[in-house]
Amino acid sequence: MNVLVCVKQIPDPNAPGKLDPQTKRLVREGVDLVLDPGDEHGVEAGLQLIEKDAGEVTVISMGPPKAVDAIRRALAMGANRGILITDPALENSDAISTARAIAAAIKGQTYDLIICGTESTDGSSGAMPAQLAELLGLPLLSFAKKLEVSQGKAVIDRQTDDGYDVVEAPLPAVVTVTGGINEARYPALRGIMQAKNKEVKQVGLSDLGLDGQAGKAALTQEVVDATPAEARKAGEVVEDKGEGAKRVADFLKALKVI
Amino acid sequence: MILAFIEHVAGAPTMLSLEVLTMASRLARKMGTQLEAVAIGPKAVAAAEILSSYGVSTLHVADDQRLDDYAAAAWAHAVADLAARVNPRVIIGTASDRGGEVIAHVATRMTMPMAANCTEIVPGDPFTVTRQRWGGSLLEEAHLKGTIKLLTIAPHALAAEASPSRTQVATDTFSPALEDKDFRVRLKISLAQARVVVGGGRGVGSAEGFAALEELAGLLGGAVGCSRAVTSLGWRPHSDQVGQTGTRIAPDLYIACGISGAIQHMVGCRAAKHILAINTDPGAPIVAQADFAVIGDVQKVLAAVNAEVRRVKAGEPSRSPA
Ligand SMILES: Cc1cc2nc3c(=O)[nH]c(=O)nc-3n(C[C@@H](O)[C@H](O)[C@H](O)COP(=O)(O)OP(=O)(O)OC[C@H]3O[C@@H](n4cnc5c(N)ncnc54)[C@H](O)[C@@H]3O)c2cc1C
Ligand SMILES: Cc1cc2nc3c(=O)[nH]c(=O)nc-3n(C[C@H](O)[C@H](O)[C@H](O)COP(=O)(O)OP(=O)(O)OC[C@H]3O[C@@H](n4cnc5c(N)ncnc54)[C@H](O)[C@@H]3O)c2cc1C
Repeated sequence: MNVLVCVKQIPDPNAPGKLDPQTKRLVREGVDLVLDPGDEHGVEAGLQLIEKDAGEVTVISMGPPKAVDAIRRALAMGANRGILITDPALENSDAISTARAIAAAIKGQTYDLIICGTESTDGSSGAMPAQLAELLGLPLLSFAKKLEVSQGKAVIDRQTDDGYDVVEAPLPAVVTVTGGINEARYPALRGIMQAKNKEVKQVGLSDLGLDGQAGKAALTQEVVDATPAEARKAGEVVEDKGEGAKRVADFLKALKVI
Repeated sequence: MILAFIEHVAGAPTMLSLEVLTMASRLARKMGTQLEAVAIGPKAVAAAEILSSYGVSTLHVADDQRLDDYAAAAWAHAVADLAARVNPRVIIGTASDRGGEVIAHVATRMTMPMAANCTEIVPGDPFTVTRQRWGGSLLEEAHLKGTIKLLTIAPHALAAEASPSRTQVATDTFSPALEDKDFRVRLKISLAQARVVVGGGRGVGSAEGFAALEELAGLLGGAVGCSRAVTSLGWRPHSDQVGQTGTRIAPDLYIACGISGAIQHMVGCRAAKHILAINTDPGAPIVAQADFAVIGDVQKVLAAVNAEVRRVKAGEPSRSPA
């Protein structure tokens, strides 16, 4: 069983970065960068599969040279090897450029399963995995909160807005996982030491044969501004002085919950 | 022409699709063009009635029995086939668990730019969208290139608004040239989720403290969820965790008990239709985001609420002070 896990490096969500007033992008210099916590679940899902079955987990990331740290983190968790796609010309890539680059970087290699997060914590477009599946001509099993692989098939519980669906597809397939799928392991010291010696292959745009088809040269969108969003609006707030329960019951009645 | 991709249940458009139609019809007016819709599966024909209140001139229905069950690749194939025939300038869908990936597939098939989770669209040159990043906490403005723009609209970015005047909706049923490989993903079972989720946070106090939440969930036919603080403390299993690194839920009602409302938690429940908060701190972020908030101790309030709900369900009069 060979698994490829796509991982993204993002600014630490514990210390959300500032916006660069000029570029309107999140400042990635001088802030802590981490493996997207959502993608830790992808790595964990891959590791659990090869622990049950034999096989290897390869992690792939596209980003600036520093993104190698996110790959190292996944290697410390137990992944076998990494691929880093990096090139200054790939800056400002959108999801489709990312999908093209990943598809090109793994050309000729075979994976039974390609695991991604459902959406990245920072970009949150959720578009990359479907675009990758389309480019590779593979079935997409998305929003998995449970994943089982056997007899050449992957079966997932697909989280929906109303509950969940049990969905299956033949391998090879692209699967996106939600945070609910597992609890990601914390790298042990031994894993961290071992990760230093694991192979990370670095590839650039010309290695991929994508000159002009990804990144700056293929820019389909340009970010011009960014501002914090307004939260949900407050409704009625009541101080509980004994009548709180009655008011709650009225609220529940109004919603026809009781 | 603007093409709205409509999701429906047996011909009734979903709420998010009505929001998309509202956005799309405003956009069509601004662009001085007409609005058409595409919906998948033979049952979609029944949607014409409702679409007539949203300024839709033609409803395209992808007519193939195999499309009844959700299959992202097949649905996208149908939409892309249609788009190649009718040549829209914008294709717009929901950012639901389905719409987002169908539009992403279509964008890739057509090699056109896509912007996800948009909250605002300003047509013209440049074509500008405002979209959500960081799970909805950051708004980004971007210019889109390409002759066809593919957009998804963030849930509840605007309220659905039917127009008082109705249009004549022509129905065009078409049979997309689907391939077997479009149906490799097969739906086996579909299970509905609790419409009410009672979530508990650090303020619940202890693992035992969840008994009151279990009781309320039982009374309302709901399920219990929790914050990460609670799973970290070992009070509940990870499978109960709501949020960015847990499950995302969209119940009719989310009852947040002793939960502060950190952004990573809210990412998991922002799609809830209503939020009721119980918290000792009137300044907690959850209070500012709840439709209704009670300031008080979780255990005290819940004990009284459970008693009151039991009384209401039994048809007895309330005992609370008037
Ligand atoms: C030099 C350079 C600079 C970059 N700077 C930025 C930046 O400032 N802001 C920014 O958001 N992005 C940046 N990127 C990465 C960019 O290519 C995004 O990954 C891309 O736009 C994906 O969008 P998303 O986050 O909405 O993905 P989503 O579709 O929301 O991601 C879903 C899943 O797809 C996978 N995935 C997404 N992106 C990657 C990736 N890069 N590598 C491997 N797997 C991935 C993950 O499994 C993720 O969970 C940069 C890339 C390069 C090479
Ligand atoms: C990358 C990342 C991912 C994360 N993912 C998630 C996630 O998936 N889900 C998640 O939930 N969190 C997540 N978090 C953690 C999140 O930031 C918060 O720390 C967490 O949600 C806090 O949980 P809480 O509200 O239970 O606790 P606290 O923030 O401690 O809040 C407790 C609340 O209870 C109230 N309270 C106290 N006593 C009482 C009482 N007797 N009666 C009533 N109210 C009382 C307090 O006023 C307070 O508002 C994540 C964080 C990071 C950095």
